[in-house]
Amino acid sequence: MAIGKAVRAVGFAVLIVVASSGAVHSARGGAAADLEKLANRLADPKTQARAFQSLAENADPAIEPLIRALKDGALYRLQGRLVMLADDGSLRDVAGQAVDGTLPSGQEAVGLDEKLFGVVQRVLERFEVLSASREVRRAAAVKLGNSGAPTVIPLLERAREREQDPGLRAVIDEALAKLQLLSPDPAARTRAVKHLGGLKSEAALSQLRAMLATEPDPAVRQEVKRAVDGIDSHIGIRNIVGYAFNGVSLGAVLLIMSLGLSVTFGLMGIINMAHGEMLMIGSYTAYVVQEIVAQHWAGYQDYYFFVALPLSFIVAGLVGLALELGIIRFLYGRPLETLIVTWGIGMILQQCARLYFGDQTSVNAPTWFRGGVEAMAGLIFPWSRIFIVGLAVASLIALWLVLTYTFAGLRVQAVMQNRAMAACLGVSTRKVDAVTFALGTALAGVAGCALALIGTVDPEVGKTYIVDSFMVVVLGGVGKLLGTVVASFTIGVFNKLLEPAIGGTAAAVYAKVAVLLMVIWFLQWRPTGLFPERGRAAEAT
Amino acid sequence: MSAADTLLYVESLFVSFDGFLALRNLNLIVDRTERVRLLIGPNGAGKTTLFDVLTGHVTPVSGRVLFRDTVSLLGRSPHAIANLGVIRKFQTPSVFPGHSVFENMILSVGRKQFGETMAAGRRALHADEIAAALDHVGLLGQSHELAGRLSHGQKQWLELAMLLVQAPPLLLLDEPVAGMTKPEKEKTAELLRTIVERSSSSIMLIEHDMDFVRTIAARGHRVTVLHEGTVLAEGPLERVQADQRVVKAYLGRGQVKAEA
Amino acid sequence: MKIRDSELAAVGVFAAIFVVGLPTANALGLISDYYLNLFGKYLALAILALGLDLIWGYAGILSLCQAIFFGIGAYSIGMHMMLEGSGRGVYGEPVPDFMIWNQVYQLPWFWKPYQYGAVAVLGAILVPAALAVVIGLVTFRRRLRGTYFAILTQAIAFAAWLIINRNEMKLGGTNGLTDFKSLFGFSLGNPRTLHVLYVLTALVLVGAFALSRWLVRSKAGLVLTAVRDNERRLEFLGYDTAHFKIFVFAVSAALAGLSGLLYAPQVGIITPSQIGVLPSLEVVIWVAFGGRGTLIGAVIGAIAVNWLRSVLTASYPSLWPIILGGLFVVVVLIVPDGLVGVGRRLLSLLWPRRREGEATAAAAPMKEHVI
Repeated sequence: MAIGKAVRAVGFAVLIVVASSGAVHSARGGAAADLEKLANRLADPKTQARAFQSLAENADPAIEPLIRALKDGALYRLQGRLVMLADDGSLRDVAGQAVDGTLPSGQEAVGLDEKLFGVVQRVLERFEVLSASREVRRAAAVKLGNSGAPTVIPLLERAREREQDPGLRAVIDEALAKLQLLSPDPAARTRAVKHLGGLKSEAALSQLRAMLATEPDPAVRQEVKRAVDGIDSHIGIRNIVGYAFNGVSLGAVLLIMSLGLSVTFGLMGIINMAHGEMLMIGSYTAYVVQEIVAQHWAGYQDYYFFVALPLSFIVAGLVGLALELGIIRFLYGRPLETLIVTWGIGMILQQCARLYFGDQTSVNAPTWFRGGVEAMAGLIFPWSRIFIVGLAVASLIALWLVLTYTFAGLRVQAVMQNRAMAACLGVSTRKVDAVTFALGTALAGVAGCALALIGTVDPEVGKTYIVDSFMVVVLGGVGKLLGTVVASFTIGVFNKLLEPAIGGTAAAVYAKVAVLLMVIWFLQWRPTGLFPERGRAAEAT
Repeated sequence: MSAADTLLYVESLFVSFDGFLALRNLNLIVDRTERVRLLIGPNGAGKTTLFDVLTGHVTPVSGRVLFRDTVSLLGRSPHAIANLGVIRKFQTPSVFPGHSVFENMILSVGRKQFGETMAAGRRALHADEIAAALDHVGLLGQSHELAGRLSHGQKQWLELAMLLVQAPPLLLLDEPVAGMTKPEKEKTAELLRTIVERSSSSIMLIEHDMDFVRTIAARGHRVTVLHEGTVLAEGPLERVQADQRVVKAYLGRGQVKAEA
Repeated sequence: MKIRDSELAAVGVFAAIFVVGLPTANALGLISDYYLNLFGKYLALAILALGLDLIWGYAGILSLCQAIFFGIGAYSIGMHMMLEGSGRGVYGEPVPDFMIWNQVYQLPWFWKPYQYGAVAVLGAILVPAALAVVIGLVTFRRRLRGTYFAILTQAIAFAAWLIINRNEMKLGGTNGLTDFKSLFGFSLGNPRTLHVLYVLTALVLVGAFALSRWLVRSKAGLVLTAVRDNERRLEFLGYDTAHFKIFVFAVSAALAGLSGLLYAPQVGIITPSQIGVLPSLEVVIWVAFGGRGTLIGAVIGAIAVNWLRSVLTASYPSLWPIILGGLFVVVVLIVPDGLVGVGRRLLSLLWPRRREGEATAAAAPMKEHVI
């Protein structure tokens, strides 16, 4: 509604500017008379339908207020003249000049045949290309480009002249080129085809394809073919890049998850099936923080994420620490038992979340996370996914720095390589275990917080990733950072590339199965993963 | 060099762990007539790694290992090598603690193929051989005891009995007296002596305990000294001990020198 | 010897109660048909638990895809029952009703063999065994670590669950197979049919128990427990442990299939929710709860936990996952030898002389020894 009003206001403004400049006024004297004539034909029920038919080709912005008034029931007859009732109650003639006088009460507005509503709507939509709103203008330009009516070309050209935004100008150019494909002039068609081909316009692809069959001029046809091939290969590459990017972002989530899993598996011989629920805890932390901020500091809603991210790290870390101190430490070196116990813990956490939060909730990404980077024509990398990839890389680097350059990290490494020896050297393996486990779960919490940006938050979110994460650990080799990185992105990218390759409604499922089979196949010739431990110590059981 | 009438023929064996050469150009021949061969050398000399290669647990970079002149041991899985008759005893006693002494023996005796094992069903075959072997190591009275409840020395003897009952052509013993008390060591030395006398098995023995080595070597068996993954010296104990290179290799460890 | 005899006596009593006792009580009107049917379900699941106990309790290999084998068994007989009832559905078409909803009017090729009862019954047992052999070949032969096996079978169970949920598989999607009319011509609406099914299940359980007991006490059984305790030693003795592991995996899979075969007709529905990771892990908990590595423990555990589930899901449905999860934790941490272990400890407290019995057994002459 608000947009409609704004559009009308601009329309009036334009008309007033036009009308108040005397020179233009006199030059438009004839036009004003035409407008009056048109108004009368539109107002007469007998000629209304035919008048609109003739309007179908008319894209003169001057007629917009008239048609809008007719549609909104604001067109009246006053002393034989047609007048429009503005929002402020004043009266104006069809050309927009103020008119003195008042409407007698009870006077009915000029009627509009219901059957014509659709036509009126279409006529009005054309004028949206001149709207004040950028989004409305863009949508209108695209729509006009697809209309296949060369009569709107003048309107579009006018819009292009007035357009300040270079991005939108390109959109209008594309729309114009699409319309010019219908031009009777082969040179104009060639220009349009070249333009569209250069743009790699996917929107024009079907129209260009159709031209391959209908184009009479062989030279133009040649050009069309080149453009179609160019766009086709562009789409192919773009799709692959797009899928690969989705794969990278999936791989990033898997990486943050698996870093913790791999370290705890390698360090302590723990198969932590509740790791997925640590991710869930991270997601719910983000959700709760968002709700609290929305309730108490509504003005700062966009910044809740700065609190949620570190908090999800802390909360998941603390839960992990409690888990380690309360349960896990009794089960060191008994991986199968930890698998069973942690699965049970996962079930409990999951059900608690379900009982408390319900089946599905969602987190609103901060506004500055909406949109993304246009990596290629027609391919947008959303900020939220880019952020997740960045977060994974940051987590990896941080973990690597901690392990390599801090005293605590060296202790962790020492325990990983030779628990007994490290203990002899005075390393408190208990502390190292507890802290490492908590660190792993804290990372999963971060993954969950980031994941909340791109999906819904539900109690089963952890289960979706846990199996894949364990595939990463198995494929990468237990406790190997480099192996975990390579395996995460391999599984992520393979998964997302296979989905479209398999196709069909169940593609995602089959892709997962295919990845699993590939991992099993890989283990046939590398039973200890991509980066196995070597040497006598590793051989001993 | 060509192989003929050898029990074990090892030629230019190289083993690498992540670039570290655990064995470098190792050559070793054990004749069929030889009953005992002693392997000594400082820590990290590659003795256990050599056993790992012989039993199929480590794959060498290059080299040849022939058993009885013609059968290559490389590329075979551990169980296949065991079925050829190359049987190994580990440093630490390695028995099945949850099984009785008798059940441990049942697992060791007879053919190990799946079909034969299934066909054996619940019958206790080879009871006489088991009884003889257990008697030999002095565990007959404990045959229904859980193996996990035996003392350290008893476990070692049980393991010896488990190996003996298989009557292997080649028995690899990795420090059989490590961690034993003095009386236990003496009994083990005695056991080995009777094994050599009564069975047809040849024994390859890794040992650090020089007392024990001397006891065994005193009977005229050859000694091979490994150092940094290769053979440093070979021959009777006195000659090996007199070898200046051997003394140098052990220098700082003082073991051979002090004992000599 | 004595311990084993008393164990056998306990098994005999147990069998007598379930094979003879319950049906008699039912005939006398002491137990309703509903409860008999409920126990029929538990006994079918006990066979599934027995299979897992063989591979996990004895050989120490944690298989987390037992529910797939169970599902194959249940779907096999389910498909047969659907086809037996075909033409009698709402639409009167020759294919099951759910296919009509998915616009499938021709019977898919893999359904066709299941028109024959013998195929359904044999398939329910042999297909899981064959699948286990395949999984075993790609895992055990490559000497994958035990933990890897657990993780991989879990992933396989997850994948199977994903697949079976899809309508494209033409197995009823998330709704599974249900609305069975008859089995081998006997109406499932008739209580007599269900009585017979109960007795059949109880007898099959006794048979499966006897077979498992024979297996674990044979030389092969010694090998299996040795795999659990010290697999490397076994290899150096000359055993190809992969053969034994594949074998026990196949046996456990066949038992799981048998369990599904008996389960589906008694319950009247089989859905993907019974296939997958959680149902597979639940079996682990039955066995652990009853007492891992004791066959009778697997049976007791399956009956006890499922009875508990029936009681608790009726009154506190939303708390059941929490209770089950708690059971996972408690059983492993606090009662690792399960009910049987607790029972044994109580018995030895009450009658300490039993230990002496053990010692006399040890003194038995060698030649009479039977493993």
